[in-house]
Amino acid sequence: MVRLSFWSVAGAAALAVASAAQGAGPSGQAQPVELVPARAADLLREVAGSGGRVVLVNVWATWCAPCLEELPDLLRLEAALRGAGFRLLLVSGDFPSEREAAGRFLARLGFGGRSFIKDGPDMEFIEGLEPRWSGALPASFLYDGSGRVLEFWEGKLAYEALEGRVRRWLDAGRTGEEENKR
Amino acid sequence: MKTIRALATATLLALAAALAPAAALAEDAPALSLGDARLLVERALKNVDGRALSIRDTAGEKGTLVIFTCNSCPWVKAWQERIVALGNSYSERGIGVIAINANDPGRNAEDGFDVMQQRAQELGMRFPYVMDETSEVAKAFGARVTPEAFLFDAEGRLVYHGTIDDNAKDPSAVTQHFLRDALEALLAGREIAQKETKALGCTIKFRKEAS
Repeated sequence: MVRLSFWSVAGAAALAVASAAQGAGPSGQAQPVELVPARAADLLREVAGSGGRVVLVNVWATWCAPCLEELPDLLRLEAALRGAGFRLLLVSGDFPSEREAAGRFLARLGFGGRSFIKDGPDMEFIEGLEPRWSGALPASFLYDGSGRVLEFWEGKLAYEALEGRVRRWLDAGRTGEEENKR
Repeated sequence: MKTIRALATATLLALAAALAPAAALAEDAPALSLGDARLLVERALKNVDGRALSIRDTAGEKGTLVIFTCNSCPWVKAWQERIVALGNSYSERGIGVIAINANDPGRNAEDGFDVMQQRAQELGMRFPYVMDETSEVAKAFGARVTPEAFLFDAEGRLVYHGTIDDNAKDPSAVTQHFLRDALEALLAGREIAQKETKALGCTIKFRKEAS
């Protein structure tokens, strides 16, 4: 009997998006994961500099089961909507001692390149990202391209729900741009 | 022209933001605010010793500490010895202490009642550890994360809400003992310096049928 582990399922899902996921090189091979320590202010600068029209910042951790279940969907969503102006910034909320484990997890999902790990005091990080956030993980924050919070939520969402929220903001922005062209 | 375009886009996005729900999940009710009274204080909750206890039953003459916690969250595990030490110590000093597990064990068996009993024994808890079997007490408090502490004064008004200290991982590296300092200030009749704090933690795994 073949038993599918979480890793094999997650890995298969990741393979489906790996070639399109951020950080994938021309050969299709993912670059090594680089986890950059970041405070809230650093992340907001990253959002504004990402070039995306709608940017999702997701705070996850290796010890957080719902976070790990959601990550493949987040990567899949970025692969699907990157061309429409969507960007995903993943931030590990792991303890610094778990930094390597966090990087290994992302690599297993086919993610490569630059990602982030929370730096500095929790309070400053939480309040800096969103004062309404309790600190519970996973947490997701949607920003427009200028770094303004559009929406945030705590807990895991299914792919369809994630896609619906992101598309709504992408469409809202596109409608605004089209209005301006008239 | 670009400015007008950008302004119109921003206006549309702002309009969409205003129409969006501020918090997506039903259990994302606002937490109790400082000065608020305890809620659902009469609700019978099953303690690890088999008795049914309410928050009112555990109220102390100088205050009451309600901690939403669980068995499974790694952040709870990192803090649990400090939580138990605080609970044991202050429950002998006039503070009623009650730990509440509101997680749905159907989502993680480690949050089951039998594991609560084991954990209470292993950790030497000398205060109640009860199960919120509908998650309604946690929802009434607006609790969202484990661990999350609510400290009430003798009149039952919230005077501190937040986390344990500023370093879950390393007790020796703690620089701010938020909850301990709040307890000491309450007992001494002093103003609590930091009344609201936060830390990263696990979501409370609310029971869906109770929503």
